[in-house]
Amino acid sequence: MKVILLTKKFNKNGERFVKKLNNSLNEVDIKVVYSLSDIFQYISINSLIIFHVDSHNTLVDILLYREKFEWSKIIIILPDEDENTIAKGLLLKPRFISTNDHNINDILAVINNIISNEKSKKQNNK
Amino acid sequence: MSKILIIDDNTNFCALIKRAIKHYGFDAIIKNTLTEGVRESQKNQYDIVLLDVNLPDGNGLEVIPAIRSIALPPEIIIITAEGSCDGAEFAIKYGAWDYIQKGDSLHEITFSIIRALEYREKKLSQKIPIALKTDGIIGNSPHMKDLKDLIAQAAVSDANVLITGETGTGKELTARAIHENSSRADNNFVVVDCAALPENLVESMLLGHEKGAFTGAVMSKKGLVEHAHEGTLFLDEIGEMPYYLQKIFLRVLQERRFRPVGSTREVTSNFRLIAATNRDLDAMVREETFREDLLYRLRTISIIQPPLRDRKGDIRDLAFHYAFKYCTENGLETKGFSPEFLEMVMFYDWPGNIRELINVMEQSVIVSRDEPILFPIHLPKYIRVKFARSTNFTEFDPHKKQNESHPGLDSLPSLKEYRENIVSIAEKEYLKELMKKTEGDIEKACIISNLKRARLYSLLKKYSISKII
Repeated sequence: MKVILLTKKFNKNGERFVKKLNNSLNEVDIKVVYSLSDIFQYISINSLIIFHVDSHNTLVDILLYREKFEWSKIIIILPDEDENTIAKGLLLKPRFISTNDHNINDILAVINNIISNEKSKKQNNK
Repeated sequence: MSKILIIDDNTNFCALIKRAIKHYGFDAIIKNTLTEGVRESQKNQYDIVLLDVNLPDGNGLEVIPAIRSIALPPEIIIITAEGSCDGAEFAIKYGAWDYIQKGDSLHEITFSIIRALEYREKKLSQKIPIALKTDGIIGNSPHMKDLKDLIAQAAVSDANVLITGETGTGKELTARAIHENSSRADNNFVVVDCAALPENLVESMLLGHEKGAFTGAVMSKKGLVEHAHEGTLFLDEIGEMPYYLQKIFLRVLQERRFRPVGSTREVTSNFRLIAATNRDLDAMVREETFREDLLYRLRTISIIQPPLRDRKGDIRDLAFHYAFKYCTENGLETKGFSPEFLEMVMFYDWPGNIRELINVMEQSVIVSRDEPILFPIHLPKYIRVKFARSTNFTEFDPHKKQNESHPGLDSLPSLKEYRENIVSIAEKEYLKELMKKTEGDIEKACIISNLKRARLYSLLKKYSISKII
């Protein structure tokens, strides 16, 4: 399963998140991209996309392309807990929705679960 | 007046049924063979088809999809002399209304007909949204027509829905279509992936929590159930919900009220529930890993998502749709399919269902780069291998193939045409086997076949056979 992380370069939260992710999921190949346009060259139907969203504007940009993520699994980390922000985040049908202040270990546990479920589904199909 | 078609070779039984239903004011047309019966069902509009299983020209169960393929398909009642559980399951799965045995009393048979007519009358009088939004749901097979009917029915009600089906069949798309066609469409559609959430997190994610409710709860958070207020809550992989939480969730479902973790206040949420699973929840109930009361609550409307192998008629449309999509997304000209490519795509079982098909189409488009036509070589190896294994060279019978393509003596071709046809079939089969045996090694293939390299290449091109099969 391809894991793609979209985050903001030179953003403290983003960099900390990438570091933690790489340290904790060392057996998983994570492609880190810093702009939305870069995602499309890596995305495929079996992707797990983690959107580490830094602002409301970035979220709006992501939503413009939401059809492209139709068959991907999505985890979204939102910049705030505003009702409107969450409603927009939910439009991406995420498997997990969270905010920057959420315990990163929970997010890692969700990622691990998604990857191992995908592995066992693949095994079952064989 | 309701129209009934009886397809049965037992003339006495047909006459008996015809007389019995005439008593209720219904008229029946009788056909004694499957061919005549199917033709008649497609030519004229019938409300009910009484279909025998064992007919002189085939098995009645196998023509259910054909009878149901018309715009307003009739209700089908299977009548058989020898009932079997498998037959009954097959019939119901393929959309038959009832499965009854000829040994049953005449009263029971007519009762089933009357019930089916009542149901049909109700069904036809129900208003279905005129333009059902079913984005991404592709296909017009009888299975998909049934599915779209169910989506329409579920969308106009507020009842709980349980969608079951194998992985990759598009359960989430169906859930989404129900939401988008419902009166809640302008509000949130909240997905909860019960398999992805760690057990210690499910409850707080669903119901929310108060600050300090547990280690790490540095501030209060609303749960997903609350976010689904006035909208739809979609519980994916419901079979993975921890047993202890099932009891809590049952209460939420009954009362639409709950207490967030660590809270003393009650929160209400008016959500509509759609759940999905690929697990056999009935079996889980028997194993006591899933609560029976919750299952009954969930299953107010039950939708079974058909696997792709059961709706082969849709594979072609799906393949074209996604090939076109990926060509457009990758800035490529629209690609065509070679007959062999399509043959393999249609032949394959697709255990991973639509998800797998989309994946394969994406790969094929990318692998073929600028080539305008997709050939078998562009398909993943495992599909080609499966196809090659299924082609049993020793069973090759040119006469059989010839008869298949020319059924009936009246269409007997000229001797020249017949001979050329046989030679083409034989050459194609031989070359396929040759490429398989030599693993595409042209030098070896030339030695075995005693053909010159140029001639071999020209034949491979003629029959669109790739070097690697």
